[in-house]
Amino acid sequence: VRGPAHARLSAAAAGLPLSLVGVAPALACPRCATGQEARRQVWRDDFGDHLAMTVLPFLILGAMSWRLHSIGRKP
Amino acid sequence: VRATHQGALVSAGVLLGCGLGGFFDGILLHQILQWHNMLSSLRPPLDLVDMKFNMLWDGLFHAFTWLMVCLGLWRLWVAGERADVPWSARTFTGALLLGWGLFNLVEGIIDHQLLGIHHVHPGQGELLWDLGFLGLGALQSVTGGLLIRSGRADVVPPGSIGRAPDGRGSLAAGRSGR
Repeated sequence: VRGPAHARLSAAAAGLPLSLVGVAPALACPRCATGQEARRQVWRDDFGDHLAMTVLPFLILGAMSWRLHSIGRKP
Repeated sequence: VRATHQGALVSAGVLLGCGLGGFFDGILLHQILQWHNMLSSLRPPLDLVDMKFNMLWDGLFHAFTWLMVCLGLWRLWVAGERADVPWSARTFTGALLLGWGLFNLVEGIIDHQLLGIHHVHPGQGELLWDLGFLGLGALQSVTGGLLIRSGRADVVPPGSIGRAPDGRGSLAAGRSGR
C-alpha cells in the first residue's frame, strides 16, 4: 500500500537531481559571491609576495636536508 | 658490510619530519584550535571573505607540506635501496624529530618574528607563545640531533636486519654490526 509518506519520498527523490543541476550551482560556494570575492583578492598584486612568504621556510628546509645528505658519505 | 652513509636516511627523515610537522601545525593550530591562519596578521579573518582568503593560503601551505612529505618518501625509498646506508631506527626517528624541530624554528623565525604574517596565539602575550614555539623547536632539534649521533653506531644496511649472515632466516643478535 502506497501512502503519503511514500509519495513524499518519491517527490524528494525526483527533486534531488533537479536541485543539484538547477539551484546548487548558483548558491554553492565555489561560485558564490563570497568565494569569488575571496579568490579575486588572493590573485591581486601581492600574490607573489604572499607566495614567497609561504614558500620561503620550505626552500630553506629543503636546502638543509640537501646539506645533511652528505653525512657519512665516502669520498 | 659496514654501512656508514647516514646522511641519506637523515635527509629523508628531515624532509618527512618537516612535512609532518607542518601538517601538525596546520591541522591543530590553523583548523582545530583556530589560533591563527597563514596570513592572519596581515588579513585577520573577521568576516567570511577574509576567512576564505586565509583558508586558501592555508591550503597552499598544506600543499607545500604535502610536497615535502612526497619528497621525503622518495628519498627514503632511494635510501632503502642503497647498501651503504645504515638502516637505523634511532637515526630515522632522530631525523624525523630534527625535521619537525627545524620546521618550527625556521617557520617561527621567518613567519612569526621577521615577516610577522601570523603569530602562534595572537593577542595578549603573543611574544611568549612565539618564543615557546621556538623553544619547542630547539628542544626537538637537539633531541633529534642526539638520537642521530647515537645512531652512528648502527652500520647494518637495509635488508640485513633480521637476517642471518647467509641471507636466510632470522638474526637474533643486535643490529650495531660492530
